[in-house]
Amino acid sequence: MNEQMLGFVEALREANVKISQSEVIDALQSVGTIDILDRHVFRCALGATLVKDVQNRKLFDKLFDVFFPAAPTKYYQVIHDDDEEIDEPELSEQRALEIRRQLVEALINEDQSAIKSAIKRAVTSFSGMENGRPVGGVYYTYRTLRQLDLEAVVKSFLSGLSQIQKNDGHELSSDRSDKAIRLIRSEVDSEVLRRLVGDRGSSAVAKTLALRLPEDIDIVHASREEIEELHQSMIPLGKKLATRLARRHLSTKDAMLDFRKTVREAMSYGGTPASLYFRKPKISKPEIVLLSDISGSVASFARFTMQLLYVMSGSFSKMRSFVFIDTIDEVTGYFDTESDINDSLRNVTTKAKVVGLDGHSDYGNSFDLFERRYLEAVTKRTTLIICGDARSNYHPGREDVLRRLKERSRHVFWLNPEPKSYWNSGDSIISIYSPYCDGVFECRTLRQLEEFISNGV
Amino acid sequence: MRFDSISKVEELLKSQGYLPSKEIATVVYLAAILEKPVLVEGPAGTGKTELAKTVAHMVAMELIRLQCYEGLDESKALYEWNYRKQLLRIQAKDADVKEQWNVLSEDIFSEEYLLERPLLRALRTSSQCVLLIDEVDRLEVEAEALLLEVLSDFQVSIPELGTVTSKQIPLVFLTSNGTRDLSEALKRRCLYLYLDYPDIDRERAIIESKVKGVSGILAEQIAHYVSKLREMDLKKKPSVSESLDWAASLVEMGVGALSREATASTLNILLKYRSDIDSVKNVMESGRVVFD
Ligand SMILES: Nc1ncnc2c1ncn2[C@@H]1O[C@H](COP(=O)(O)OP(=O)(O)O)[C@@H](O)[C@H]1O
Ligand SMILES: [Mg+2]
Repeated sequence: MNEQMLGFVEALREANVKISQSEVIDALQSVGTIDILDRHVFRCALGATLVKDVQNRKLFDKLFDVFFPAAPTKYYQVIHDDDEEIDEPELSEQRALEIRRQLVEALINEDQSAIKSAIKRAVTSFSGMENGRPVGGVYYTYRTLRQLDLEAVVKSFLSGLSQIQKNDGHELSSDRSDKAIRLIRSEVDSEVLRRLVGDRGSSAVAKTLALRLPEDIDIVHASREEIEELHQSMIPLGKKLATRLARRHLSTKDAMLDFRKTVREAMSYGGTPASLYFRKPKISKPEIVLLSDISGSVASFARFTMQLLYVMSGSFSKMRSFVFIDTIDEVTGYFDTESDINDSLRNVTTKAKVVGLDGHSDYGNSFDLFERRYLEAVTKRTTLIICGDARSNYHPGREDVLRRLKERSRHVFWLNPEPKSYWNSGDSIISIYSPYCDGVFECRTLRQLEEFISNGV
Repeated sequence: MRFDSISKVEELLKSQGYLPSKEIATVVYLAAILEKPVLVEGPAGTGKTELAKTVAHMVAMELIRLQCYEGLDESKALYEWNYRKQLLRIQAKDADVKEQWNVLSEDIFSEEYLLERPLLRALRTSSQCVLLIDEVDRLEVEAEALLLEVLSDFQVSIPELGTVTSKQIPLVFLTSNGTRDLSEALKRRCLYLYLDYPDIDRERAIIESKVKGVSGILAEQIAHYVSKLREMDLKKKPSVSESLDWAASLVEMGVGALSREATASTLNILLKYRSDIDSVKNVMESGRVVFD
């Protein structure tokens, strides 16, 4: 038990969840006071003691399932609670039909345990799982779902429902089928997981799953599901960063005595300064000018950077945004406080005029146009942030423009969403720009972006 | 103070009209046993404050509440000397030259001149209490350090009076609407409870428990409808408080079951922004959120 707990904590830490030793002790202590056979309570107790950021809960839940699966995990136990052996291949269509029928019936009756046993049979028959094969769970889930034929299941589920008139009017059939699909997927997932854990052990499975916090997802290569997760973490992340910046502004300057107010108040005590009054230090917030390359390869990174900076725009005294591919356009207006951030981003991609020539990134031309059209945007108070991979399709780089911009501004920073090892290969010309930057940072994940903002701006 | 079991906590909370999830009951149970503060985080109106109040009620303990706001400092959270009274005392004795300064100073820094604030009071009460530190996220960062100090050892030292240690560690609830991130150190001290919007069954039960005269059907419909709205991309999602207000108004209007008209004419109770109301109306007109 304890060993399993420590493995669990280790896996969480591996995924960058910060857990202190005292929290591990709290977890162990709390587990001693509850009925650990009640899996839900057990999960709650570990959650309350180990994971104190709601953003990390999803990862926590996944790993919890790996380390504390719902049912026995030893391989021989798994075999034994499956009633049948896999059938001969020619019988399998017959068997598939039967399993489908069983599942549909269970869904209609909302019978959780019947659903589970149908799923078990499906995984046994369809996944082709074999002991000791180094294949990831996703593959088995995929095979099971494909042969189960989700579409057919949902169709007969809905028609079964309408026959028995079990529609109470609150839910539309599309909601019901979505719900059923979600349920089946997650049941198959957890059954496959359970068997993998039985075969290989929790820690090994946790490693192959390579679960990541949204902050550690590689933005440029993120899957659609991951992009969705990233989106959800933008607002909390923005808030966190805003707090951190505020904290830094505060700690660097001490409050000054408000002499006048102190003396005025002292008058009423016959001149004794009974209370001292302090003036809040003036916080100097940076002015941000953001130039983002929004061409195909790096567009998603630009979106997240814009989104993040706008979520925390209260931390800046002023913010202006420009986007470019081979031509540059100002998009500050799309981000007024009234409109939804997603609408703003959509407007940026659909309305901004960024293609003048061939639609391939041209940093030199974009910088040149920026200098000619918007030079007044950059002043001694400006922090200029450039987002892009500096892949300029062999166009002239025009680093002279950047040199002049640097002279006019307070800071110039460059965020590059490519791994450092790719820099300056092919048409990447990041090295000709770096002499005119105060910092060039690899920025592939939200965590790196976060680090930049809390140290750099 | 310990509870017999998690289900006992559930039962007690329910008996006071608070509908807990298993998770809520578990965390309250653990907090009492481990003597650790609970940090309750979640959107506004999901029952964070009410939880602390209900716990105090159900165990018949005094509730001491520290409402946080920007600018709250030690003198308002912990203690302060009553300067006015001290000055009067000093001036009254001015004529009497014989009085020794050390006698006087001992006197004016005594109990009589102390203004006790919620944190100090929670440490000094003779019997165990529930300390509610409400909306910590509104505190400035420096004030958080003060909380951390008190919650670490449940003692404070007042230079003039010495160290005050609590006889019985209070049950502490800190609430936060998550408008900013709290320090890691504070979080480490606490058990964490995230109070999200309740699921449909629990929300229906909350409505039935809190709104007099609401029919089962109406409560159920409201719970469903509101959960649908929360799936939409709204500026301000309706919370439990809005569901309750809405239910009460519908009952007042004599509405027994939701209809399209009743819903459309009362949306302003659920939604605070014009743009949110408009987008919900659009969706309703397109027929996607339907009631018969
Ligand atoms: N689980 C619950 N059981 C009973 N009432 C609840 C529950 N959750 C929320 N409420 C009600 O919702 C309203 C808002 O709760 P409150 O505690 O003020 O929210 P918060 O402090 O999270 O902003 C109150 O009227 C409260 O009684
Ligand atoms: Mg509250």
